[in-house]
Amino acid sequence: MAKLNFAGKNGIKHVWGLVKKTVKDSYTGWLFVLPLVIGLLVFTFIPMFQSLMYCFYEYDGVRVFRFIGFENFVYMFTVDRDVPVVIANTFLWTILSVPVNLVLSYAFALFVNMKTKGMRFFRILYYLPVVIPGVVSALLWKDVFDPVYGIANSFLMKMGVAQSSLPRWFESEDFMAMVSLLLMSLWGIGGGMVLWLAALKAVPESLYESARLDGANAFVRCFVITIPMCSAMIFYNLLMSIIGSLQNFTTYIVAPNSGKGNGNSLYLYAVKIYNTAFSGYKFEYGYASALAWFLFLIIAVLTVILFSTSRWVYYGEEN
Amino acid sequence: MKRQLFKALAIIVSAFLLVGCTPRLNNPETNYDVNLDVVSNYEVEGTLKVGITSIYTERWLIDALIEEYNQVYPNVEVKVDEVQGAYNNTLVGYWQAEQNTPGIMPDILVSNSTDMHSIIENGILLDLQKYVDESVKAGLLDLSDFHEDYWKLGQENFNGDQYVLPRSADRVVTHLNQTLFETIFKDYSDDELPFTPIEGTKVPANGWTWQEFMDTCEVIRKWYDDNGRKEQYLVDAYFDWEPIFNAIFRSEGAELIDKDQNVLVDTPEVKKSVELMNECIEKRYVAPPGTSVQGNYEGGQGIMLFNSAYAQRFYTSLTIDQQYDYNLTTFPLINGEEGPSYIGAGVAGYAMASTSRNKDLAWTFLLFMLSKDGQNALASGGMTTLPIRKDLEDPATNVWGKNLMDKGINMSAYTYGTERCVITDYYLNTGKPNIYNDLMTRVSEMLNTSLGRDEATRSQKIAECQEYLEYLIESAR
Amino acid sequence: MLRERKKCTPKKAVSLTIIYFFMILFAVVLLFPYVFMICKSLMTGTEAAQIPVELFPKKPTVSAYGKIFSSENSYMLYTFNSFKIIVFNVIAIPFSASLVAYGFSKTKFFGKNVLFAVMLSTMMLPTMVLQIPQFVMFMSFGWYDSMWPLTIPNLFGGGAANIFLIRQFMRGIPNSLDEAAKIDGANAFIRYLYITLPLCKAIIIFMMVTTFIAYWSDFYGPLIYLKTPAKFTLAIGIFKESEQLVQLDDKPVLMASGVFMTIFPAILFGFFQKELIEGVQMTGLKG
Repeated sequence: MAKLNFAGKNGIKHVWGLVKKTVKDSYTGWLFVLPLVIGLLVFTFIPMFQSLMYCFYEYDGVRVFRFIGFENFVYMFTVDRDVPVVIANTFLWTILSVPVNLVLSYAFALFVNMKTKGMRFFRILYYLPVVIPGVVSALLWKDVFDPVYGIANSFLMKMGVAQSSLPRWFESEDFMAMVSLLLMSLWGIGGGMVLWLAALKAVPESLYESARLDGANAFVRCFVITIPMCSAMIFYNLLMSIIGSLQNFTTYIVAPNSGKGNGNSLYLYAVKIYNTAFSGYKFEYGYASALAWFLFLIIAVLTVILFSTSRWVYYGEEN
Repeated sequence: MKRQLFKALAIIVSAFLLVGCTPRLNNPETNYDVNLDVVSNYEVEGTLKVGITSIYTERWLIDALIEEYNQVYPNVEVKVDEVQGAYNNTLVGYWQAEQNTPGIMPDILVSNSTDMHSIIENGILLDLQKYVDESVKAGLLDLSDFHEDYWKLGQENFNGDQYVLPRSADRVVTHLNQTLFETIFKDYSDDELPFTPIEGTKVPANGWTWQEFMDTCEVIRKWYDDNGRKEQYLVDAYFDWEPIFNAIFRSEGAELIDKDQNVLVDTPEVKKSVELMNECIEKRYVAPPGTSVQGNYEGGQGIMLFNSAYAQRFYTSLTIDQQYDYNLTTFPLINGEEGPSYIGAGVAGYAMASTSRNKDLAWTFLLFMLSKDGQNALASGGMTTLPIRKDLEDPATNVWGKNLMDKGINMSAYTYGTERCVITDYYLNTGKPNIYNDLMTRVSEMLNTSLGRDEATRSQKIAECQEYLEYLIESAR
Repeated sequence: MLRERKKCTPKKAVSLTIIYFFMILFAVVLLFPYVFMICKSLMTGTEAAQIPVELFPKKPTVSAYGKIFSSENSYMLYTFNSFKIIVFNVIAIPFSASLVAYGFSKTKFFGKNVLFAVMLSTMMLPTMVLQIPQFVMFMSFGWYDSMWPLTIPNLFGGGAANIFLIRQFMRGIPNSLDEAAKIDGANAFIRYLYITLPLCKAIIIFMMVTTFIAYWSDFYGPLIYLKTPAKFTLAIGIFKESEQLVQLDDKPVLMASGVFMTIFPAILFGFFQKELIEGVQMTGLKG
């Protein structure tokens, strides 16, 4: 752009003229997006700055607002016992649930997409659990998996499993608790499945035709054509699933010991933030903000890593 | 050019935001003036709000107290707020909202010797020492009216400024289902009974021992099994509740934290106490903690319950609602009459919120609560336990005990063994008020995860608790 | 060249059967807990507490449902509170989002692309980061224990995802009608209201349905902002009640409340399942 010459009255008049023109052309557009701008400022940017500031303060919501520098972070990384547990659990959950959910929902989408009879019926059936409210499904599964009164263990007993080796599901202190959570999350697989359907429909039929003529069977067609063509969607879903899993809050409802699980087996990051900020007789907004920003940092790093290793993703209509 | 404009705008906006970001704080006035003229002005007008926990028995009490209070101060309107959820947690929420929504925080709050530490430390409760001193000077209050050991339990660290005014001297008793006792021991003569009975009944008299309790349970357990109650448990023992486990620990000589801040959890004494409690679970007298199963005394299934709750409550739920005969006796003496045997005790009472705008008026309410009329009002509302006033001690002649004693209920269980009463205070030795709650919770959790499990797990949980308490003390901020 | 008809070979029939078998099996597994919830809600309290647990009630009874609708429980109040919030949002969100989306898709203004990029990037923010200062801010407005924090912010755009979705849709609408109206002298707002908006009916309906479902099940928001039972929504109400209904006798009431809570989204789903599923598929085309 040509360098503006501010020298003299003419220069300033020129700039002012430009400003006036911009405003005249834009003000209708601005009026339409004004709610968004106000909303972003008040409900997103101001809180974002504030919470960044809180990280370096001790703030209890009522009396104390004291600058303490990096003390929150030092405490988080050296002293607090819960933090390693919580990070480990959350990562374990993400590594466990994201691949399983993606693969299974994709597989079901493939099946439901087939042109055989009745698949539309399955499509509706599988999506139904998604509209059931999260609270209800959490409480329902908590009851199903109750070690003593739940129907899961009754079923296992009828199959001949000895009473002493019945799994304790959500109340166990080890890996079984995570497995129970995974089983519960598989119930909502219809949601992911429906998202894949759109991507599957976008794959041009001609590619399948030529593959069939070349003699490729169903498996080969799937791996060589379908999956690469969907890679944009795979990438997007992968990213969104990871971000979502890292913030899972459902354990607050299903886990015993007020959301932590026996032996901290189900203690997840989001629950820790909630407990720090809103539970107990002292609200620790500063420390909770520090925890939240650390999570944000992890998410940002993961996003960058994912984007930079994403050359396998195929966009657009090139051949 | 555009980019520069944007940058400039961004910087200006950020500066603006950061500057306007300091939150408003709510630091209530700690240096207040005391005006006691209001106390003698019976025509005074005003409004007060009292915050109570959402337990229905608390509602009975406060309603009765307010009714009597209005006989003396008829123009003061007293409203009740049943605080929902975790009491202390919701109070802090109230406090936070108070500066923008005034009137949310009540003027008067109910509290007790276990829960008061945290809300004293974070400033929700008002330091009442000035009010107490001025009232004593003005002759409105005479501290010798009250049981001194229990009066102290309303003070900061049990030995400092007064924050909570106790209303009763609570202690743990054993509530019983007399109908079941009479049925089970029907054919036993007095010598054959595994305990010394109250004259004319088949229920244990005050001062029975833990060994007698275990023998009794053995007989009851067999009866339950033979009579279609195989799945039911006998006793709601509340082993994870401070007054109960603390009494057992102290009786066995276990001191969880000593005066030098050493943590003494992984010790033979504590192990012995845990064994004692565990035996009850192994023999199926008490339901294993950490599950949803209970003895369900109040539903008529269990036969005994350890708690400091008021007799009136169980008289209502057992006798009036279900036609069982209710009775009570003392908490079993862990090591018998001679050995160290403690009974868990505490106080419940009322305090003032530091944000109150009606401090003097609220003080009239608190003074009334401590008066004879106030105490009797509470008693008639269901506070059937030893009141804080010494002159109302005798259950046979005073409101709190007379009604039930006339029905043959052993109210003297509430006055028995005052010298054995002990308060949970091991955490005071750490001198760090902000971890008291965490310490208590952790010990409870240790009991919840070790009782009912095998030997190895129990030892492991005790060791973990030891380690965690040390970590808490060291890392306290 | 004639294409050969696909032969139905035995191999194909076998693989098809296997696939069908697994699909049906999984469908049964998916539906089973829901069926179980309905069954348990029809049991009496003692029946529900039996071990081993039975699936079908031997003596079906609607006493649990009676308890829900009776005045001693507050489920009706909770439902009413939920509806208050939902009605507000179902109107506010599509209207606000479409307004902003019109601005992005049909008008030109200085900083349009930058603003859009900024809006999209806010989708990456974890909610936890904003939760605490927002809470403090709403307290300072005096909105303690009220439904305003759950409703008023939605007047300002209704969420980046929604704006993005409607914008995509609007871009697909040809500009010719818009241009014609402009020539006739209609200002932007009139054009938005009478021309573009009616054409977006499908996506607006979709947005209303998803908003209903989202706020019907919203748990975290009410958990933080609603404190007294009189204000609870159904989601929070059921959760708090579940903490109280520890007695085994009361399990059927819990299950009945769950069934009750599921009826509304299920009915919506029944009516709008075509729009819903296809709408979700369209959001999938974002990529």
